[in-house]
Amino acid sequence: MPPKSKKKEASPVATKSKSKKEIVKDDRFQAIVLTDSFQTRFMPLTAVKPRCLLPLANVPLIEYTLEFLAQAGVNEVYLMCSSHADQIQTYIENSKWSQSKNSPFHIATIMSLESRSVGDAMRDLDNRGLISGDFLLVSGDVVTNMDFSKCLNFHRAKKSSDKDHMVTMVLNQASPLHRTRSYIEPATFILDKKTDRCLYYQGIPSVDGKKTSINIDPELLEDIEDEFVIRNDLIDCHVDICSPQVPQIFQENFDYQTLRSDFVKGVLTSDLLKKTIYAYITEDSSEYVARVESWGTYDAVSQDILARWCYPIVPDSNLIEDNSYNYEFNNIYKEDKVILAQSCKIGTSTSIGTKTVVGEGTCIKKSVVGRNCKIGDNVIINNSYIWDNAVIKDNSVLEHTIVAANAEIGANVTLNPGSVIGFNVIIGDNKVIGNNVRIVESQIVREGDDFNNSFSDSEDEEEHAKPAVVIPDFAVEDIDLVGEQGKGFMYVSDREEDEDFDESESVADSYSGMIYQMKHLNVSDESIASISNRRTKRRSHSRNRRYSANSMISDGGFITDDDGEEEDFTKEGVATVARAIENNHDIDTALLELNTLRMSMNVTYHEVRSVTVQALLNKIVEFVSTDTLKPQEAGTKIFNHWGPMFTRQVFSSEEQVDLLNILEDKIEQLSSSYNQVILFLAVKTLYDLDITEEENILEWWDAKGDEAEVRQLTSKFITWLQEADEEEDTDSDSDEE
Amino acid sequence: MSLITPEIKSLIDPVVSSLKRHQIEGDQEIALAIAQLLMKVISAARWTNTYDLISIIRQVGIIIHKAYPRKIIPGNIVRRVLALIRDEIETEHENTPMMSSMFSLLSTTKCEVREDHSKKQMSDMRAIIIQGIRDLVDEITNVSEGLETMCVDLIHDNEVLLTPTPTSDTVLNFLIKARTKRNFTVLVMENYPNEIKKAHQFAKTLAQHNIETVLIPDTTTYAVMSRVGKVIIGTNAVFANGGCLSNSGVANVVECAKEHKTPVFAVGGLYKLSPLYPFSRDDLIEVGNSGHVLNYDDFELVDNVEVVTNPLEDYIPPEHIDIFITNIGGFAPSFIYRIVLDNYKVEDNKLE
Amino acid sequence: MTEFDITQTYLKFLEEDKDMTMPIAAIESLVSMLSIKQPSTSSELISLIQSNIDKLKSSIPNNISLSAGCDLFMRFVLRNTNIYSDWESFSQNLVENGQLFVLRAKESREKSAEFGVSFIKDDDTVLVHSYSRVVYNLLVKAKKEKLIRFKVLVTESRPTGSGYYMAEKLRQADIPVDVIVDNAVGYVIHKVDKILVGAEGVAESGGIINHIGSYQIGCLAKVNNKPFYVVTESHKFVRLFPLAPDDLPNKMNHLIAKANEQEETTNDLKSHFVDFTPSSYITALITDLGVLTPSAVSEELIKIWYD
Repeated sequence: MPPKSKKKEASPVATKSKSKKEIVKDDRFQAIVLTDSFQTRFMPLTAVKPRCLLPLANVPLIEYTLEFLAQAGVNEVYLMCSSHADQIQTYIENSKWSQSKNSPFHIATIMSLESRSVGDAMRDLDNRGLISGDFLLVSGDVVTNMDFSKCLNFHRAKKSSDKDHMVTMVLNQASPLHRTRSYIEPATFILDKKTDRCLYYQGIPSVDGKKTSINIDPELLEDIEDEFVIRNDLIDCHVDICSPQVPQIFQENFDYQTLRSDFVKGVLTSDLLKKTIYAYITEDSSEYVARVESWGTYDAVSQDILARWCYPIVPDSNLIEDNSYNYEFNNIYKEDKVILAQSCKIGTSTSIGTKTVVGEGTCIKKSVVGRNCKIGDNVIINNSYIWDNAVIKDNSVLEHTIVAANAEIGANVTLNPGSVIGFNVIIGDNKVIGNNVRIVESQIVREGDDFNNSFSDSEDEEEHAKPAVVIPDFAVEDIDLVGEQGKGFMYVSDREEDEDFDESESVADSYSGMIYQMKHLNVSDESIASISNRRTKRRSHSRNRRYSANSMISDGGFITDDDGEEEDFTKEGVATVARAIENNHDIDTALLELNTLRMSMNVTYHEVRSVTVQALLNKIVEFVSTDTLKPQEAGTKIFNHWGPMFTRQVFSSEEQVDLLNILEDKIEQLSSSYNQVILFLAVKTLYDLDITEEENILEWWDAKGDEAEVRQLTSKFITWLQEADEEEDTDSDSDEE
Repeated sequence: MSLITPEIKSLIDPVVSSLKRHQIEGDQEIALAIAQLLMKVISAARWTNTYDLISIIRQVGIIIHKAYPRKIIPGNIVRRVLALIRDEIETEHENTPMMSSMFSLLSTTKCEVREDHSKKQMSDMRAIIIQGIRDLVDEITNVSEGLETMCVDLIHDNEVLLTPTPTSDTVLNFLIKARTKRNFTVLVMENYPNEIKKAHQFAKTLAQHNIETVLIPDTTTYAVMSRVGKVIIGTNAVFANGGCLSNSGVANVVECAKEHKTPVFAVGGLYKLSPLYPFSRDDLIEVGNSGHVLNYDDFELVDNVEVVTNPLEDYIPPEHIDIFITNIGGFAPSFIYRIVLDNYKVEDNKLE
Repeated sequence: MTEFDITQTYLKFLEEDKDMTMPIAAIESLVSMLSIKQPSTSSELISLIQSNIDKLKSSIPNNISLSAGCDLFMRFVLRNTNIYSDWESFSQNLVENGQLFVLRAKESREKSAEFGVSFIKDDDTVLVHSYSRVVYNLLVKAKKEKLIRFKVLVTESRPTGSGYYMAEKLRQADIPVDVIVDNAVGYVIHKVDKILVGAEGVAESGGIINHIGSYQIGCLAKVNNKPFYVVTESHKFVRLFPLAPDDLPNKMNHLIAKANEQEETTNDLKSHFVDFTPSSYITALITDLGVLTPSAVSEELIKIWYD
């Protein structure tokens, strides 16, 4: 059992210390809770309710954090709120934490509505000047039972021995593939073995368990005397004890957005700022620390709480005033007045709220059911989370899903793993909701679908906007999805809408906590600083978009092809070449511009070729459509003039073939009245200019044969080429003779 | 709930919070904390007649019970105080005829006379009750003294004792006191996985007092039982039927003892005695952190195992215990109901 | 003056009110006797009561609980005559409050049920023997008020067959119930979580007198480690201390099955209709005074009889 906490009466100490502020260093132990993590992993539910008020095992997430702070003996708590700040404020005011006499600490909500990232919140904090000493920085979704005093002692010890000590991170030892470990931001830590000082931090691109490599600057390792340990098995719960300089550092480096990948990494790799960061690792298996930052961890942490890994934070300690959970063997928790039918079966690790009615023959296992729910007969609920007031009619099957409050699921409905049913949604009878589909009550209005605006994303708008506004085109409910009696729309996150690809491969949050089910991960944030790219790779030019695991491995450390940047480059590139053509620049200038663009955007030559081809074709089309020139003339002119650009873009045989392929692809899309001519002209020009050699042309030709319509005219050229080959051969033969 | 004024609530809330977070360690500390709380509540409460006071204390008892339902001791202390108050009332109204409960069927006289007392009587009453609680606090703190008078009679020279509850301070004091007059060996069980540290500490303390101590794993109980002369167990709670709650694993030990016809002594202070009947074992035992049983890092097991459970307590039925040793003497389990009747009033068994 | 027949009055009370138990009927009939006979002196009162009790006891074969009631009443009167100097008003009081006793008796049944509901847990299987109103009350209370779900197995309880009646009543209360043959108790007992029986009388040692078959069930329960609970009211405690089944007074060939709607079985069966279950087989007694261990029963009796 944890020892008695060092709770102090909030008010008397505060007043005393205020008067002595000038003389003595402030004794108050403060805590900052970041209620908004500025991410959208929990959409669409976070459009209505802030993440920290979502219920985990029927208790709002923020309560777990506040319990931890109370246990830790904190005196003052500041909640930094940005999205749905009003809801959070109302909740705190009505809760037991605000009754100043009995509450263990003084709590205040800080409206930080303009913040768009953790960095912004920290800068706001610095501006307000609330910090007076070492403080505890947590996010609003941490669940833990750890004995904080040990950690605090560690921090103080390190502080006295190392003057540059700035932050102590609390990490939980687990294993690399542990279900509670974040798959979103897994990270390696390099620690000094003796002192536990953190030497390097590297976020690993989120993959499904396959590791990549990390790059370490050898200079960093220079001043290590002893051994250092590279750890990939730590759960990072974002609980940090920080010194007052931390907000200042954020202020100085205004591009720091995230805590770990920007701040920690920046501090550790910075030459100027000589500050150290230590890591406190909880190795005792009975100490549990975890953060709920994605659906996967929501699932894992719920199961952990029900299985009593986080004792004494268990449902039956009834931390919320009017909860009345009782524990029964096999980890079954029931409140008073639960009405169970005679033949229903309640399996292990289940929690059922008060006044819920469960029908005959129903099986509920490894799930959390909220209050006032009505569950019909013969329902199978497995590993699901059903919040208050939900209705589930007979014969439905719910497997690994979330049903938010007030939702209604009809009879005979199957909810497949990963689906999320939003607040107030009604699903009609006999529907099957596929994997990873999210349904929301009403369309969410978005502003700025522009991808150039990839940063100031509509994500925040989504959270602020009233979902009641319906886009006129979609006034009709998604009947296919929810059925005739149903009410709800499919929620597609921004990124999915921006790309046009088929729905069947819809990119959705990986919900399940199971390791290998994650074909795609939950990484929906767009950030300004794109230094470290933790996002998925997409080859937008490949025809078949497959999300196999292999496609995620970064190729040789090169960070390429950001989606947004890709689009940027295409536009920019085409614009550049078009400009060059318009203004009749010489080839060198054009190439120079293009190259500069390529290097700044960090794209491959493939892209460059594409844009060049595209630009040229655009010009040709323009000529033809304005009837300035006939296709043949236009093609000849353009290709002859601008063809040489390709010399500097093509370096090997494969690339030549690639160029030809690009040409064919693009030309195919032109009007069929003249595209054959254009292709023929293009190939001929390339051959004449010696940009492409015969073998490569033939290789390209053979790859597909002459089935395609567009190739018809070109086939004649090819035949000539082949004959010319033979002639040359015979020539050379005859020469030899 | 209307009786609980905000003033009283502010007194109760800190205790309730610390109970919920399991921050108070040790049965004695909990008992003392509740007793202090009740003293404060009685001083702070305003009441015009004693039945109101009784209602207030009952409400407080309900709130405290909800904070930590599996701990019996807070309820015991509340009921002791209520019995105190009711005793005071009885001494005031001495002339009603002795009514056996069975006669309640036939009696037609009204038993509760609700008079309003004068202010002086109020303050007198208050003083008397607070004094009573002070006596209770003294009794709780001095539990060991009461017990120690009997230890010399119960333990013989050159005997081998077994104790499966090294977490109990009462047992520790009992053995140390016995050492002054007798020479014996103690086998201490390790109590894996929850209390290993305390077990080692216990063995160390005994050794420092010159007692021959042997630390044994829990699994060897049956093997050593034939050599054991007596088994001494500490209790977390004692029920009206003579059954008791003790550390997990003790049920095993007493079964072994019964098999070998070894006497089993259960020690515990009077404040651990509860008038409640243990209806079902599952409701009474506290289940703790699964992390002690299975290492959380081992994700393959954690993901694939159905239930990992770590019960912290065991229920011992009355047949397995030979004698209860309390600070007021030794009693057979079948006599415990009598002690309960002496110290608690039947009306208070159900606080709602 | 019409001849007052105590036995007839007693039987009439039992007939009229199905819910009344035998001791209460005895007390009621004694009270009504007092109202009719109107004794004028205290000694007349006492001797009147005594003679009527004797008559009643001798005329009714199964008189265990009946005598419990009578003895209780007698003791109560004796105790209180010296307190109430004006015994006339005292007897007036008794007569006026006749109905009150019946009500109180029903209340004590309620109270016993209240104490006992905590024994029934979610998804329990309860074995019940014969028809007992207190047990029935308890089970209905658990179902309706506490919304606990459980199943009941009832023994046939031959030769009276009162098990069928119990099953019928439980079915009406929406409790899933199955009737089993008496001999099948050993077969089903491992699936049962607890056993609940009523009692006709509770002996001083804590053992109970109940419908035949109770002892057998008690033995099986002990061997199979299942708790055996007796639910009863406190006015059924009698000053008897039987050591063996034969120690029960009077030959009992005839059980008054008041609530039994089936026909009387043939009298070829030479059987006793009640038996005695010693206290060592009983886990706990659930009464309106609380949950008592068998040893606590004598405590209660001592309080009345020996002071």
